[in-house]
Amino acid sequence: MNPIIPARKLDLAFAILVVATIITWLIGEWWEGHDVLLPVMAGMLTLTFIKCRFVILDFMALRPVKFFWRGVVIGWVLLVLGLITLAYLISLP
Amino acid sequence: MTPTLAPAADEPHVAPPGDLAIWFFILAELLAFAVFFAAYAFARAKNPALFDEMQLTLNRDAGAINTLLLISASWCVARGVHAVVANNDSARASRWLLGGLAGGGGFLVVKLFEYAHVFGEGITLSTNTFYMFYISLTFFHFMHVILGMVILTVLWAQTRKGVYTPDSANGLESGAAYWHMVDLVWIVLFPLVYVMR
Repeated sequence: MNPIIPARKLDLAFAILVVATIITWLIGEWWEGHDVLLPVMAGMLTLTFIKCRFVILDFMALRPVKFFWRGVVIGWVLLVLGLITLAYLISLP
Repeated sequence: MTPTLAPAADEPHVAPPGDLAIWFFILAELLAFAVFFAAYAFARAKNPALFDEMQLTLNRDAGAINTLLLISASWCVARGVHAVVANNDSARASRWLLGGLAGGGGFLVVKLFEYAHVFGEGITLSTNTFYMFYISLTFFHFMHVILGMVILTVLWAQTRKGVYTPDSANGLESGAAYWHMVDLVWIVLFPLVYVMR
């Protein structure tokens, strides 16, 4: 038996991903004219994590799968975003 | 009574969808991209002014459009898998997969326009650290999109023949998982390279 994600959940995930992408793009447009702002960075990373989570749980259909598999892939996202955050903090004046 | 490997309705599935081997391949790919992303972020930390200045020469609109194209393609592929495993509807699945191919193709076209502009400006891998990372990182991903398109084309042809059924969809699910990995990586790459300042 295959793990099945309901169609409406896939559609909802897609809608959220589109909105989150547009917000990320708007953040980029705004950020260009402003100095480094940690809350903006935190917001962008949070949006990125949310987007990744929807792809992993719904599109990859790992939501109904044992925690190990979800944990490994979501753990990858957390590791990467954590390293990006660390490097960003180091770069601050 | 015949033993079954299928979990009860309220129990989680033991294995992810598709072949287990594709998941080990996906994890290896994710690890490679993680190294790339960390290298980019720490190289930027050494010279944020250069990276911020060079980022302004990129086309952020193209990056955002490409993100929308990849998530649309991923959605189409997920709906294609759903059409087979939930409804046993191969004809509909093939149409969804065609949508996925269109999204992936659109990504490649936009990216080629970006590369044409960058290389037209005389920029190469040795121009500076930013462009060394930009070209190598995005090209590494570009190659994954091409491989994903080849896989999607095979899946599309197979669904047109009605090869996959709810009981035999491993190949479809494996290919779809690979495609979603390509999407997942771009979702991190876009803010890291095009947005973060």
